[in-house]
Order: sequence, then structure tokens, then C-alpha cells
Amino acid sequence: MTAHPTAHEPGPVAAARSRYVRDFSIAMAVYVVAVFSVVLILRTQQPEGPLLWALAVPPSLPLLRVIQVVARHVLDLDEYQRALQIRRMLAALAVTMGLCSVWGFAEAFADAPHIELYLVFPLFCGLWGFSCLFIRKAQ
Amino acid sequence: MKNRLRVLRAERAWSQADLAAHLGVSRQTVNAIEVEKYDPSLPLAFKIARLFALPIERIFSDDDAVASAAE
Repeated sequence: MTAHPTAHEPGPVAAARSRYVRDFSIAMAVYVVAVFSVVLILRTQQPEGPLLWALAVPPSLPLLRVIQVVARHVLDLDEYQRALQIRRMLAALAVTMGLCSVWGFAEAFADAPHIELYLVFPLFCGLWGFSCLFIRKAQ
Repeated sequence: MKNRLRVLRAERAWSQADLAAHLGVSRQTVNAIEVEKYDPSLPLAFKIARLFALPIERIFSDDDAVASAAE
């Protein structure tokens, strides 16, 4: 007989999960504050020139951090959950790239309304979540 | 692949969460293996075999092994 099961102690899986929730929450909170601050500056200060480029940085950095945290989280999952999430990500990636490519041509050729590129990441995340309804096997 | 994980776990009166903790994986992974929705990696299969002190082929058997045993 082996040692007593340790199901209720935080194992590596649970520890990775709480680290993910913490890091994700911090990055998203910083992102929200950055977006509102930049929008406020744009509305009240009418900045010009290089300052406009500088204003693109504060919302970008926490978003890059979110991408890093999510990638780390997927890599930290155990083998089954990682395989499952990677299949879902692949499906979301395929649909995202498909939609963006088709819409890109529609914009270029048919004057379709422009869609901002920063919406691609939330589109991917939404499709990733949606794929969970359909992709329930890891192999 | 077929496996006897559920039986072996029941013999020890472990929950899926107990077994998951022993193996260092999530409970979802133990469940996916038990319902034969997922075949574990070779390292995880060895870990399971070591935990139950059985050779791997006493726990897991592929369809060919099942077929040849029936002959």
C-alpha cells in the first residue's frame, strides 16, 4: 500500500492554476486601466505626432502579457488537458485566420467596412471558448 | 485501448481525485483515461503501472491483444 492519497493538498496542477488565475487577473486589470486612461487622454488632451504612437504602448503591453500567461497556462496543463486545449486552439486559429483572410479581401476589393486588428485576439478567444462545445476529445 | 484503471482504483477505494493526486495529473485526465477517451502517454502509463505494482500490459491492452486473447 502506498502513502495516503493527497487529493486535497495543492498539487502542481492546482498550483499552476492559481498562478494562472492571479497573473491573468493582474494583466487584465492593468489592461482595462490602460485602455480607459489612453481613451481619456485622447478625448481631453488632443495629443499629436509621436505621442500618439506612445499612447498605443500602454494597452499593448498588458495584452502581450495576457498572451504570454495564457500560453504558459496551456503548457502547464497536464498531458490530456493540454492535448484537448491545443485541439480547440487549433480549431479557433483556423476559423480566425479564415475569417480574417476572407474579410481582408472583402475590405480590399469590395470596400467592406474596416475591422480593427485589435479585435482579432478577442475573436480568437471567443472562438476558442465556443470550440469547447464541440471538441471534447483529445485524440 | 482498453484498461482496468477503474477496477484497480476501486480495489483501493480511491476516488478519481485521489488517483489523480498520486499521479500528479488532474481528475479530468484520470476520468478521460478510465472512460477510454484518452490513451495516456508512455511516461504516464509507466507511472500508473508503478503505482499499482503491475506490468503495463496487465493494466492496458490494445484491441489486437484483446482479439488474440479471445482466440
